[in-house]
Amino acid sequence: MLARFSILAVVAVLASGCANTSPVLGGKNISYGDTKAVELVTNEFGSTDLQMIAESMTRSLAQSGILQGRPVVQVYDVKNKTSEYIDTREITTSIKTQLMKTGTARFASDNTDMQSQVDQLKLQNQSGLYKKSSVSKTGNMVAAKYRLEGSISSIVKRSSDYKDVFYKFSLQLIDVESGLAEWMDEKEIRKTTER
Amino acid sequence: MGKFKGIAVGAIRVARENGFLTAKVQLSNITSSNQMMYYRFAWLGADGFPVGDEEAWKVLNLYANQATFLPAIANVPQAADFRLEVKTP
Repeated sequence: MLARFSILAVVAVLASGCANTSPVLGGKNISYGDTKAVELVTNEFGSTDLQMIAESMTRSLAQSGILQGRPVVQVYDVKNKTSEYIDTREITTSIKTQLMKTGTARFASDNTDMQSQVDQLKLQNQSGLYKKSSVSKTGNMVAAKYRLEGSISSIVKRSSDYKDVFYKFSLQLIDVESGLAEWMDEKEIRKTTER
Repeated sequence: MGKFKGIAVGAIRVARENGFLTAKVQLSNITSSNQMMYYRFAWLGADGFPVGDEEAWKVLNLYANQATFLPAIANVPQAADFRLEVKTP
C-alpha cells in the first residue's frame, strides 16, 4: 500500500517535471541575447562599438543643422586604419539607416549599389522588354550634393598588467562642388583588459 | 527600475535645437570610490510612448565624487520627452 502510494507520487512528480510549457525547441546551451547589451567578450572591435559610433555620429550630423532641405548625400567607404579586420561598410550602413530614419537626408546610390542601379536602368531602357510609359528613363538620376567619408584608427598599448585599445572614428561631410568640409565629428572609444 | 544607490541625478536641461530634442543630465557619483554604470536614453513622443528604436547601453566610468553631464540628442524629430535609464552592476 505504501509502496504503491510512493510509486504514484514519483510518477506524478516525473510527469509534471517533463511538461515543458514554453514554446522552445531544444535550447540546452543556446539562448537569444539582448542586441543592445554592452559586449565585453574580447578587446577587439565589437557590436557595442559599432552601435555607439553609428548613434553618436548620426545624431550629431542630424542635429547640426547642416542638412537643410533634405540634401542628397553620397556615402563613401570608411577607411580601416586599424590592424584588425573591421567591416567598415556596416558602420556606414548603420549611419545611413539611422540618418534616413531621422528624415534629414536622402542618399544617392553609392559605389556598391551603383552597378545594380546601372544594370536596372540598362535593362529597362535598352532590352525592349518593358512598356515605354512605365520605364525609368536614363539621364534623370539626382547627383549628390554632399559626400560622407570617414576613417577609423586604433592605438594598442600592452604592458604586463594591461592591454589598452583606443579607437578613434572620424567622419566628415564634404560639399562635392566646393570641396569644403562642412561638418566633422569624431568618436573615441577606449577598451582596457586587465590581466 | 528601482532606487539609485550611490548616484545622484542633478540638473536637467532640455532644449530643441535644429528640430531635435537635446537633453543634458547631470549625474554625480556620491560615493568615495570609482563607479561604473550603464545608461541609455529612451525617447518618448508627444503621447508618452517610445519613438524609434531602443538605444544601445552606454558605459560611464565616474571617479569618486565626480559629477558629469550626459549629453543626448533625440533619434527622431518627433521625440518630445525622454527617460534616462541607469543601471549599476
